[in-house]
Amino acid sequence: MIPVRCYTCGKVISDVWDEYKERIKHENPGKVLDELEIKRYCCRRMLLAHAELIDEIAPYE
Amino acid sequence: MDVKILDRGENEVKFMLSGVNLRFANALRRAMIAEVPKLAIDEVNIHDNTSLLYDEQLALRLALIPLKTDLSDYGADDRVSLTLKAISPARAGYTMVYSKELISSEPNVEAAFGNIPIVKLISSEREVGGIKSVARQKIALEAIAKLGRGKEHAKWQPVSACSYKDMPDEEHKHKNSLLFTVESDGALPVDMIIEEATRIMRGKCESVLDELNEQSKPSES
Repeated sequence: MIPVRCYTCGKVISDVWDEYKERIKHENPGKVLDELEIKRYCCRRMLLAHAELIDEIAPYE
Repeated sequence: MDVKILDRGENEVKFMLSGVNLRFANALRRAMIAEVPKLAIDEVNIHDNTSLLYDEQLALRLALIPLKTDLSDYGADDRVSLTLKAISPARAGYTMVYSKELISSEPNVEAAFGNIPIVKLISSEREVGGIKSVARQKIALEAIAKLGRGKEHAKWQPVSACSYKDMPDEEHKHKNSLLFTVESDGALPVDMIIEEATRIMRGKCESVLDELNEQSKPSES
């Protein structure tokens, strides 16, 4: 699960996760982040570096 | 003192503040971060949670969701109840639970962003002794939101970025001008945050004055 807010500045970033995940399949992630108005590098790394692991731990609950 | 709004977005404002010293600007900044109240989820009664997140992880995620707050309607001891119920699908698959699914007891309190994922509920197929069944996950909880301040917990902080710096251009640099950037997390309109912060600063100054007046009285008699 993507963290609700940016660890560093506290801006809510999780609300754009679904759109970001869809759009980076065909578009440049940097451009998508610009258009989603994720401006600071602290917030950008939250989305850029996120690994969605919940499906991988699901079988071992 | 002079204020000039340079740029204004939905949740963000940039303004130039001139003719004040840094002490004043910093007091304003700190009042916005730590003293302006807003609603946030503070208690969660979990009736059922068979999701992959632990109860405390779920509660933490809920607390970080900004809730739209009308400061004229809520006082220090007011509570707002929000309920959330969700179950994964009847067949193998998943449902994502979003912040818009929180049902509030007050019509004007709701999540500032509806698309915040709270938890993923997964249904998985199992086969035991040749019999197939689907294991479903569900959550059922009641969250209680209270009014609080940023100095107690960051979930009650109404701003994310909130800072000032010298005006970057040469023309204004010499005149003690500061460039303020204030970004709301969506719970309060950004103008309201600045207004409320100045009101709080005035209140603090007045309480110092009252105290000083009180102290000087006995010496007169």
